[in-house]
Amino acid sequence: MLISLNWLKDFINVPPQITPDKLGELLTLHTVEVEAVRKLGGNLAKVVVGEIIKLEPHPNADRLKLATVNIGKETKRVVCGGGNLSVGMKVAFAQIGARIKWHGQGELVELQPAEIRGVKSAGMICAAAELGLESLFPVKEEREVIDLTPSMSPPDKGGEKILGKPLADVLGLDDVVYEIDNKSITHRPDLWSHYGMARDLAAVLPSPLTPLPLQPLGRLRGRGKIKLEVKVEDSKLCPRYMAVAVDNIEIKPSPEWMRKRLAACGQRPINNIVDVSNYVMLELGQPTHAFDLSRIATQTVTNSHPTGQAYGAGECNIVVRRAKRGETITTLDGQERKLDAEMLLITDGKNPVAIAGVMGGRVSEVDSNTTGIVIESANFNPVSIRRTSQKLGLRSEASMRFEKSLDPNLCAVALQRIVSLIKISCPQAAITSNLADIKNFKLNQGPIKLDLNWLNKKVGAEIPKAKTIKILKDLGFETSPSTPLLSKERGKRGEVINVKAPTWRATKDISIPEDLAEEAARIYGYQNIKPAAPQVLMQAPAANAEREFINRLRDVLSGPAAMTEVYNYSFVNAGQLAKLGIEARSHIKLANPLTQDHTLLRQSLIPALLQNVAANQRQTAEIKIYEVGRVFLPAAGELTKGGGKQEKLPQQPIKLGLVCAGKEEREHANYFKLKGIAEHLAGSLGLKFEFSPYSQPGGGAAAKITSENKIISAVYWHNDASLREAGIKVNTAVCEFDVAELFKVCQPMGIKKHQAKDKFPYVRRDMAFAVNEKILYNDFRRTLLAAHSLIKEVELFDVYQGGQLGPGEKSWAFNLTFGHSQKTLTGAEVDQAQKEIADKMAKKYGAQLRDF
Amino acid sequence: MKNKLQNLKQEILNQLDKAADGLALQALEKKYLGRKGELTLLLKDIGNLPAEEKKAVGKVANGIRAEIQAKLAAVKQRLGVSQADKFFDATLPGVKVEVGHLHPLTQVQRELEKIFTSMGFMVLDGPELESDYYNFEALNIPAHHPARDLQDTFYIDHKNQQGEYDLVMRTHTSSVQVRAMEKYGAPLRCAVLGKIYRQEATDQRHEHTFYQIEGLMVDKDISAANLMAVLQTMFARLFGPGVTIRLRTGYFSFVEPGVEVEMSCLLCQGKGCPVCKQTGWVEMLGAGLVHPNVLRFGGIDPKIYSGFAFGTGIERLAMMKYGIDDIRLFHSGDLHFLQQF
Repeated sequence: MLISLNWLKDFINVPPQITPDKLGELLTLHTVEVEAVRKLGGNLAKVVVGEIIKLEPHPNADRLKLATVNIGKETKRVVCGGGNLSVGMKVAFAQIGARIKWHGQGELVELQPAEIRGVKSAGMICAAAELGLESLFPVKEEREVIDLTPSMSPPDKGGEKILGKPLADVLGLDDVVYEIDNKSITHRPDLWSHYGMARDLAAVLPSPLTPLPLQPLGRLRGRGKIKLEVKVEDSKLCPRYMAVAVDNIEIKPSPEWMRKRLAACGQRPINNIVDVSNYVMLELGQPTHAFDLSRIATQTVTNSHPTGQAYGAGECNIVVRRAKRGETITTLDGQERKLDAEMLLITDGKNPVAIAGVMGGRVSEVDSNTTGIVIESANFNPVSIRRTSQKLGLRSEASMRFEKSLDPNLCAVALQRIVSLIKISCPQAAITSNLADIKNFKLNQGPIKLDLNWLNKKVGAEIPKAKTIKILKDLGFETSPSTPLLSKERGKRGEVINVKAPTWRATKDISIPEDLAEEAARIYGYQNIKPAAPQVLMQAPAANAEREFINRLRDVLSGPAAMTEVYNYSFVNAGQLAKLGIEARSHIKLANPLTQDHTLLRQSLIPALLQNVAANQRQTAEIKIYEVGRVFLPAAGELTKGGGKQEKLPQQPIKLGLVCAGKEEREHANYFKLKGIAEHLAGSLGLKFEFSPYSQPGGGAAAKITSENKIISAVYWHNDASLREAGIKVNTAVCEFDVAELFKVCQPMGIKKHQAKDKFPYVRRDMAFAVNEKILYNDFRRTLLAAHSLIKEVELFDVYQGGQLGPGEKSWAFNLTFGHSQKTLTGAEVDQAQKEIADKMAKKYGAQLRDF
Repeated sequence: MKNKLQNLKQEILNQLDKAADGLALQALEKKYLGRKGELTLLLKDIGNLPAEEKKAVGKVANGIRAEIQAKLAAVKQRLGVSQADKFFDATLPGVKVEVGHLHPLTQVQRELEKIFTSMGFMVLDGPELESDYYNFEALNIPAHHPARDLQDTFYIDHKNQQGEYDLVMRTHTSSVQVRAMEKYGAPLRCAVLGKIYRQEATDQRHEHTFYQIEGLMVDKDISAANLMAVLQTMFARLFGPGVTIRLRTGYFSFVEPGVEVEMSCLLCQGKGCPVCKQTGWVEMLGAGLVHPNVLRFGGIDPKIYSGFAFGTGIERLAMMKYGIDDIRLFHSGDLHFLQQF
């Protein structure tokens, strides 16, 4: 929303030491967030008023003219393509150095001396768009420059003196506009207007607040030629409906001051009636609507008078009712809207003429032939308005205000203001009907009991009583001493006052003492509150074991495992999954995805990690990445939906996904890199992972990981077509753990215990075996370790195939550690042990001992 | 062959005795012991001898080699020639240590966790796919309240019996407030860190997926001044003791009063620059005193207890801290970006 400083000044005094920027800061600190402070004349430096004193044809171009312009102290000759140039015309003249929006588009460009088709040009006669003044000077024809002549009359303003004066001064573009963040006034229906902002600022500054010049409601009753009857069928959806008919209207442009203000606030001026309605909405916050009287009234004597004469007697029946299913209306924007039974309509008794509080209908639109109008100033149910505008995808300035819960009392104020403003542009206009006013509302203005001690405790500052009361009164609250408390409570509780909320704050914004605490705190100013650490009982926070566990995993993976942690989106799409051979059907779907890439909730971290590989494979030779994150499964989890419902939320387990990828020098290098990382992770968690072969249905090598006899994961070595399909050109190994499962396996492991060193020294020997290549290392190693009681540890250090070995054979070289707890082993004892081991391995696996 | 070897040995030993400096010694080493040195070539010839002779000559040769090596070492010592006199480039790269990387958001989250646990806050997480109830209703944002517009919401394609979407991707970590109150009661101090979602088109400054920290403290007589002190501590620990904060009025349905908290601009030290839109202040987080309705939803009596809550985007903190100018980098999986941290 845009707020004009000049408009605010209609209602409050801003002391001269408070600059526009400072006022913006005050608004931000105390009332609403100001996103920007715009100085309207800011871009008009070096643009002055000039008068065309001579026009000559351009020697080299038919459509261009040479204009000599008097800008007071001097004259300039410029080339101009304007179609409406005439001698004596007052124009907006941009001097060299002015900043212009070229052809009304793009960034501002500094004007340079130029030569156009061989003729020098020292400046420019500007069109409205080139100066950003389209709203003030609506363009009627193409190639039209601003004609300032009409703006220069009456004569005292015109004449020679005006020439050379800055355009901003002459047009009164001295206004400053505040761009308000609408989100910051979601809860304040009263602030959606200039008067509301002024009222709040009156308390902030502080400044007296000028009351609106209003007449008694009675003045709105015309000598009714038109019998206006309003029937509200659903008073819950329409707490108040006021209407009055006004005759003798002449549709024309609004006065310049009004157009200027509307334009400053981003509202395009249209005609005097529409403009008045918009003006009052911006000034007071109450949306209103004007219907063409001839379209909604039945004439009993004469028909409508396109000539602009007064109406004869007639009847106008307005029925406010819910729409019937399937009913339609064409709105002002020309679109046909399908309605349903939840939507509220304004009808002429038969046909809809407006969607209540959202948008008027085209059929009753005010146009240039309009001579009489019915002005609606009503209040509608905020929820109903919001639902309707959401369903129709139609958010208007009106619906935005109604959905915030407007004060029904505002209807009357707005109606009076409209009538008096119409009379300014159409002095002959007259009320021609009775005043319809159907109301059915009750506001809860309190009083709220406010304990001042409690207030100060809440804020954490000693705000003097007088100050609190002044703040509340400045904001329109009424305060009075509360009834005396019971003697028991006296002294313990502080002074309590009764606070009655003003109607414009009583629709839902203010209802409890906390709301009043906010009023006191924000106007008093948070800068006046001193920070103070809370005084509480010391208590160590409960540990979050699972989160600490995850941090341990991260420390291992980003530490010794030297992996890079990535964060991925939780969303995937069916196409992406299909390429990997994953069925998308069971995935939880978003109802309103942003893009087609992100339509489903992930069930695994792997697809996104593979995308990371594809994205990085060109730049990075070795990719080692992991992610810890939640996945979403369609089964019911443990947490409930809350609010007394026992229904459960879907399962959202945390997973750990790991990927090693890159061009391989050695076969299966990435598989073994990843397996090594998994083994290291197990070791650091005090676990042992067992890997056993496992063939997945889709092909590709794989191993399943078991720990404590529980399958906890699988490592896949991927080199298949599906990965190439997914754009991966390098070898890739992946694995995924369920963090909670892993945590569960780890928990009984407890704390690592110290193991004392054996007293007697160990002996190390190497042994190499040639075996059939189908024998699994895991099995062989297990047997080897158990082959002799003196063996403490065995470690594989070489794998060899080919050469002197026969086909289908491989060689494993182990380093064996021998030891005895009671004595130092002799060489002979170890030799003997080696011999026994060789025999055992030969017997079990046909392994042949090899020489080094 | 044996003689040849003996002669050469004598020649070498004599020459070595005469060597006057390191340079001369180097020349001798090259002449006799280099790859094409006289002794080297002679020793190579041994390989061509018949087997029985090879053994005997080999033995002699080994003795000679050892003798010469010993002499060489002695001469080196005499001349004061040591290994250190060889040119040594100390600037050659060291052996690379392979390092891993924690995501920058993990690092900032850990810092935050440390700060808040040090002040006695529990660290919580909570579900990301959340019910409408905990994400909105229990936070004093009923259905069809305009405050729902403040957060563009991803809904799950699932309707309840009333035909309404009742599951959302949580739009803030505030969704854990009432869950925590229900589970732990009062007094309560917790920090919730985690992933949140907004149905919002992405650009350099906007993401549909980001991280938040929520702080919640419920106890007796908790005030706005308390909130200020805790936040001041957090910002000073994150960005250095020089930063100051200021509060201005703000609106969030689950707090009353509500405030926006701004931090003095790190770039210009509050003088005004494009980053802070010339104001000297940067908007950092939303906060306030917990709305009594929210306490009631959490089963806590607002007559006895009061509390404060605050929430902010962790990306914003990380961007300020590390000078990151595009929020989309965090979820890009771009290793060039991630491996800087």
